[in-house]
Amino acid sequence: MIIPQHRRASAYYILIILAIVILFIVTSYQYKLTDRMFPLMVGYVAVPLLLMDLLALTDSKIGEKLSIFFSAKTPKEVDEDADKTKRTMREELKIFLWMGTLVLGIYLIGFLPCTPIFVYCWMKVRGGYSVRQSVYLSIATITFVYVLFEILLQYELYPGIFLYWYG
Amino acid sequence: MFEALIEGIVNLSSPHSLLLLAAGSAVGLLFGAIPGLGGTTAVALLIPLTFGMEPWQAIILMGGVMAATSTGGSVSAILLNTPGIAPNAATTFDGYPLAQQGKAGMAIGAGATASAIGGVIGIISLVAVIPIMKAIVLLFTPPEFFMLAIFGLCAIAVSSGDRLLQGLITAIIGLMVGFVGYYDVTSTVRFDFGIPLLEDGIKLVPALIGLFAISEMINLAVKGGSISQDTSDVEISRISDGVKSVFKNWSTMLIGSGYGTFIGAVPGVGGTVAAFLSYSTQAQRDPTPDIEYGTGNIKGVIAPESANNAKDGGSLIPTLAFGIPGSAETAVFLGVLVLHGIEPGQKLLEDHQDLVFTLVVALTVSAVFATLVVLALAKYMALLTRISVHMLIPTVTVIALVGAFALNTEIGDVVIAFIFAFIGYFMIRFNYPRVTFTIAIVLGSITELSFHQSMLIADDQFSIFYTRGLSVFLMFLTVLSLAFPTFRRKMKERKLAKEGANK
Repeated sequence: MIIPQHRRASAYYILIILAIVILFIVTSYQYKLTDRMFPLMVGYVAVPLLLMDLLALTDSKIGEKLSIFFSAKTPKEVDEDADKTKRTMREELKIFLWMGTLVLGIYLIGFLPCTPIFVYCWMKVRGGYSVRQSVYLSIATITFVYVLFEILLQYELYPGIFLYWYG
Repeated sequence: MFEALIEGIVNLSSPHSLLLLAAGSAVGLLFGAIPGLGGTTAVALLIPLTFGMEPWQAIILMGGVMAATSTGGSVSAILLNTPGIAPNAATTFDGYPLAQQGKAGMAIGAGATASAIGGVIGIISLVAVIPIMKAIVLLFTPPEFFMLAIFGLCAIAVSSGDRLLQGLITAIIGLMVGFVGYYDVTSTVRFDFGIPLLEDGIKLVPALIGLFAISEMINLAVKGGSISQDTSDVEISRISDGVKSVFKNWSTMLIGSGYGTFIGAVPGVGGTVAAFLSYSTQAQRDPTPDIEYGTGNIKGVIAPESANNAKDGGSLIPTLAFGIPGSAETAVFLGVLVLHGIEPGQKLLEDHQDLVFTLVVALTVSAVFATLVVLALAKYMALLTRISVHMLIPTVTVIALVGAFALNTEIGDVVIAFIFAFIGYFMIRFNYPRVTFTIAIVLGSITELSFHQSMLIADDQFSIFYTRGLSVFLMFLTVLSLAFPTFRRKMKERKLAKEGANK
């Protein structure tokens, strides 16, 4: 039972979910019967479903039968109907890094400095816009955030951990 | 009921309320017209703005968004062959050919008018069933609520199209997310892994913002390019011909609205199925059309547009009566209600009828308002869809993160939104339905609570679930919904065999 190359990413995804479900089941056992009863029922239903999902990815008779039973389509038909958007892992990692840096930046220096910096950098580096256009949009965004949240709604936006430490 | 309706009208008649409604409708139109955003993202993004509002004000704002989204989506479907949101996909079949023939104005006129009338019919249906809903809700005790939640989850999983298994898995994972944190039945903190942020459970608002708003931005960033590739200019004229055509083809509009209301009320099935069913029914009813369907028949615009707006009223029926959302948008809307201390169900229908009718009036006015705006500004709205993703991504992401933070002014919520953004992205990437996941998170605690209450009533005997009429009926519906893909396959095989034999 081999999982074809083009379905392997889906298989890894299922395995990660399976690991989380197993962790969930194991953790459930440390609680009292009333606390763990329903979570355990749910967890134990998830395991066979995930295994079937994994099997449905294989090039095998059982995989085909499962696919037909659950999706009314053969695995080949599922492949044909799948989203054909080209996504490279490199591109995905880049985006995750951008987003991660934004959240880390917010944590360290707060929303107000981070917002224009992020908008400017994204526009300039990823969008290829001119300095002027990037500056305009970053100013527009920070003005919108500041006026709406700080002035109109009177929220105190997170100032960053540095300010907490030194302020 | 009449008093509540009057109160709803009074709530909406102040300038402040009308401004909120106009703002909600404008955001709904904008997010509906820009492919990849949609109403759910709009509702999720606007939640933080409602924190300081009265519940009825929040309802007006959200009602404005929900009623306007699919009207906005029809503009890009007709002018650019790019549906703003999924339910507008069926509108492209005849809407875009009409635009190519120079009849874009006629198609927009017909689409917007059908949307408004369909929306109003859906809302009238909602009002009509409110008294019945109250009687039905009283029949439900904990075992029935439990079975209803299970049926709702299975129906939503089945509606994931050809991804039933994935739908069921996401429903279960969503339930698991709902178990995290303090469980008030036994006063225990569960699955928090020693992380203080998780002690109170996963907060719904940051999770929804991550799951819908930020994950969409990540997806757009990975895909790259501009939202719409079409840069051609379109001439918009003959709008009044389109408006008239809706009244000329009133039966098409009525049937479409009926489909929308009925299908909208089934949890999870949503506007896309309603629009496609309405379109295909129209094509079947009209075997010898003057203009072939798919080549620019105006009825091919009226049928799906009336259906996808009528579903708004329908999808609110299970949401308001049982707290079981009919769609992703209503799931997020349910989050808004809970945030404002409004519990759906019997209490809402009896004690807060004014809020229900405020929503009804807001949806009605917004449906008409959105249509008028579309008729007036269609050409400019089409320009919005050509906005570069590189302008949209950083601004929406930052605003979404600020919104996630604003709820409790806790930086941990930003992290929750960030984590759920990645979960949401991977769900898009591997085709796991986010709607099922969201609804399961919302239903997690209700499901477990009704389960425990049932076990308490029955002295820990599971028989309580299969010895009561309504519970057995719901169980039967659950099995039926799970058997649906197999049934569909058999029908397909039989049809193919018949065609083969005829050849």
